[in-house]
Amino acid sequence: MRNYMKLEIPSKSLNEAFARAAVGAFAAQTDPTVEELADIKTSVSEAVTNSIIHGYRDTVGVIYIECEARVENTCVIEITVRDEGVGIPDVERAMEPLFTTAPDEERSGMGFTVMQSFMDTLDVTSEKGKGTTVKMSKAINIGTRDEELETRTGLPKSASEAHFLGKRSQPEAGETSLPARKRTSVGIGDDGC
Amino acid sequence: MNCEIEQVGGALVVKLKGEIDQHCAEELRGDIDRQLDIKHSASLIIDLGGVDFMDSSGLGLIMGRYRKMQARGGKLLLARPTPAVDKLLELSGINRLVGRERTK
Repeated sequence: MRNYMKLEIPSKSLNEAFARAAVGAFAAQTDPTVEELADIKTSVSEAVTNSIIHGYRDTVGVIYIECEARVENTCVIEITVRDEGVGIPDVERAMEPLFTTAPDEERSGMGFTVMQSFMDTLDVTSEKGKGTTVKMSKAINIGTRDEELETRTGLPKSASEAHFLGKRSQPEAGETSLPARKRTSVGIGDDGC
Repeated sequence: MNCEIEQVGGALVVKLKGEIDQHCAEELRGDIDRQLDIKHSASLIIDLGGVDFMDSSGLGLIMGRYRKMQARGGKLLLARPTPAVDKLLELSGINRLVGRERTK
């Protein structure tokens, strides 16, 4: 099972909130926990902010965001944030905690550290004058929660995949429907699909 | 982002609500620093109870206010961070530098 979305936004700071909300809404289809969703939104915000304040520092360019969700036993959300800005001269140094090129602007220098800590994988490629690409992924462990649901409800493990696919099967007579679960803060609809 | 600032005794209390990112951090910084300069507060309490989202721009804001209060011999306290915000504070090491206001 695979789902994806693509987004292009101008590098304006007011789009930081839009970008993380859009990715959060996409990720919410996989029914992440509140903490998983917060981690994803924070990491996207960091990557987009980097493109705005560093990549396109003195100009406005385009930020390209791609998200892909793959579901097997676990669900993996893969997010790519790409700009065509000035690039990072030394990626390794830029990824050191507390490193910042703008200390007088009160930058914390924690952007990449946050992405590394909150996501499972992080890959940064950059070329001077050509831009930067940040790829990151996080596993949403549907399998574990399916087992918990199976134990509690007696419903088959495939129910969660049906949820991800947006299938709305009606329970047969005498069958129990999925229990109400604590919804994450960004949902597309009442059923999250 | 909504910001309410009031002087309570010797402390400037800043109550933040909404989302803190780079887009609003600079304006927040200006608002807080202006009041600190006017009121000459001995301490600054930032109430994070209403903050539903914060990224490293918020960390920069807090670190900057910590340095400012240190430079003037005052102190910074943080109050009521949500679990997501507290996770970020812990990661940054701010929790080891900045005290926690527990009465709010």
